[in-house]
Amino acid sequence: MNSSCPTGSCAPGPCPPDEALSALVDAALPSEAGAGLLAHCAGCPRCTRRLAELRALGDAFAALPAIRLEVDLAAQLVDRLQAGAPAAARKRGQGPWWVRWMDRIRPPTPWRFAFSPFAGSVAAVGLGLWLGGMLMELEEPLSPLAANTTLAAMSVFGSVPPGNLCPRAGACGASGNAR
Amino acid sequence: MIGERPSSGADAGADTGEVRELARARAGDVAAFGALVRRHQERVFRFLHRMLDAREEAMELTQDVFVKAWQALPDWRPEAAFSTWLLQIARNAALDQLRRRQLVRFAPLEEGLEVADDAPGPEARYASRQRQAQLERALQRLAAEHREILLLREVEGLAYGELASVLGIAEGTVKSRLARARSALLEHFDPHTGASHE
Ligand SMILES: [Zn+2]
Repeated sequence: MNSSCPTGSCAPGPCPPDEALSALVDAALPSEAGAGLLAHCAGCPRCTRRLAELRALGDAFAALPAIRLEVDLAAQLVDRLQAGAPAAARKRGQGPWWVRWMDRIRPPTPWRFAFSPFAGSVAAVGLGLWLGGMLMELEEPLSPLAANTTLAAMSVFGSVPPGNLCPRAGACGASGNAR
Repeated sequence: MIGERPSSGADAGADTGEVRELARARAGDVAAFGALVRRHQERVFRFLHRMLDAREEAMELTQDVFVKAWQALPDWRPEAAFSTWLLQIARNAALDQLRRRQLVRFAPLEEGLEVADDAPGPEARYASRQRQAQLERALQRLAAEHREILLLREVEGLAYGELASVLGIAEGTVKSRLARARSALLEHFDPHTGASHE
């Protein structure tokens, strides 16, 4: 229905730019301009097709499935803001998996630290160092003692093989093997 | 009738309740701010979800948007509609996030864009779901600049003046950018058949 062309055979004139058709779809044109465009489209298959496409695009958007939040962020936010936490700080237990994991091993207070799995590892390392230290202390006096024992054992044997003569008088003691 | 798409204002729903909540929130009333969050959280989340195509990320960012809004509330002036102002913060947050993503991802984001493969059900319903999925896929292929203006116009129903203020551009630019965005989308998506032009 081309109202501006009663005979239906009028030249539709130059095609409007895409921008005008897009604005027409948004009802963002003054009414006279809009009416003129519609009159053109009625006599122009190309613009009719384009207008139909733009309108169908709008319909396709309208048919998109609804996206719902499904949680009330307000409650969480109010808690967060009321707690006086630094406003830009991220809430614990949120964020990507690695951030949440870091939260788990990084306790918020020293007291909670005592009950965290992290505390066990620290205790094990500490105990190991302490025991190691004790061994180091024991080793120091042990070494000279062992050396003395070896020397005493060696002294059981005389410097002169049995049956040999003493090379000179007094060189062999009373407990020695020479006589 | 010139066009059938309503140019509903974003703040048609800014009622006296919201005005009161805004005044109290600006005076530091956290509970009043909570009420404002409740009014606008769905919209901010929906926009971010469609911009980023990632639910968890959008949820996290929605919280950040409101925290930023709380911090900046003293600077907010009643001349700027509150919901438009929120969308402006959300839009900046989405662009920042997309930029961060580009630093770590080199391949175009394709996750979550596949057509659902589960029980098709009636043929018509399946075709409609296909069409939705194709549109979602086509949207993700657009430049962020085109995606955001289409979402704000077609899904959120912002008027040209509101688009100009959210995007920080002149109304004339809104008109041309919107036309280019639609044209770009039509290169990837046939709204009549739902077919995607790969
Ligand atoms: Zn034409």
